[in-house]
Amino acid sequence: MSNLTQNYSEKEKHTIFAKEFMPLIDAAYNFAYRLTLDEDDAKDLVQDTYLKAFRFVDSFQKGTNAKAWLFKILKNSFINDFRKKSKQPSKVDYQEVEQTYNSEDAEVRLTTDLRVEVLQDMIGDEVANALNSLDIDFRTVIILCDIEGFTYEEMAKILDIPIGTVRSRLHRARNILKEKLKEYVKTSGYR
Amino acid sequence: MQHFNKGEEKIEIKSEKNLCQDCQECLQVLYSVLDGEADREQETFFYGHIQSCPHCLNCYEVDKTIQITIKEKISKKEVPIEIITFIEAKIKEHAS
Repeated sequence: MSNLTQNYSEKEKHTIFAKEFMPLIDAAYNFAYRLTLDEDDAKDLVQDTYLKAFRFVDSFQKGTNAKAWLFKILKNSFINDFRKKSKQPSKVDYQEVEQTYNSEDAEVRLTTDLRVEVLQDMIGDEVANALNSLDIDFRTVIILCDIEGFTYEEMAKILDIPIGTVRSRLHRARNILKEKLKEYVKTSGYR
Repeated sequence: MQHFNKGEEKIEIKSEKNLCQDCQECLQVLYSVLDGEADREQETFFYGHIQSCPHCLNCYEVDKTIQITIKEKISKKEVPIEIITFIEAKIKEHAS
């Protein structure tokens, strides 16, 4: 995250890699899988991310947040190199979605007829399907916030967007997710 | 009184119900409270309000349940061992 470039010795680079980055490989693989929705693509993306992390380790400052630094590389690799060849292209045009939700006609529904007991009865796969059906940018903020527990400030750095945009994107993402869950509840006979 | 931070984008709250000013403000800070991003003043206002407002309490409980469900129920995949082997081999190559 920092613009300062370090000048680590070879030994230091390997130590940082082993101690700071390798313990995060489970989280990185799960993030990659949630972005690509494909095990082979996730594998390639993680390998790519880690090799880049090693190559650019001089731009990592010891004592700063290694997970946010690594996730930023992963997210950028996904956007720049990977999204084009991914087997799961984004199904929804993000601009279009954002415009819809920014327009005066769009109703951001906060009152909801979802019931807590119904949500509690849902199984992981059902919730995962609803989450995976969201456009990639909306899915990403929910993953980073709710699954990975990043703060808004860390998310802003990972995604290269202002905190205000993190906040509003998260807000829209959660509203769309609620609509998806509501549809799911209606069609699957939960009541 | 405005309970969201200065400089933040105000989220427009629209609803099928006519909401009073306190409900509007409560829903403005709901996600900040859930995400641990609210300041003490916002939290005090928020928890005070939901004690006397079933509508906002319901919104809070639904959103909180969704957040917990996402965190706890979506299964984690185990990283395939060949990824670790591949990365370690590549890094070792670099060292030699």
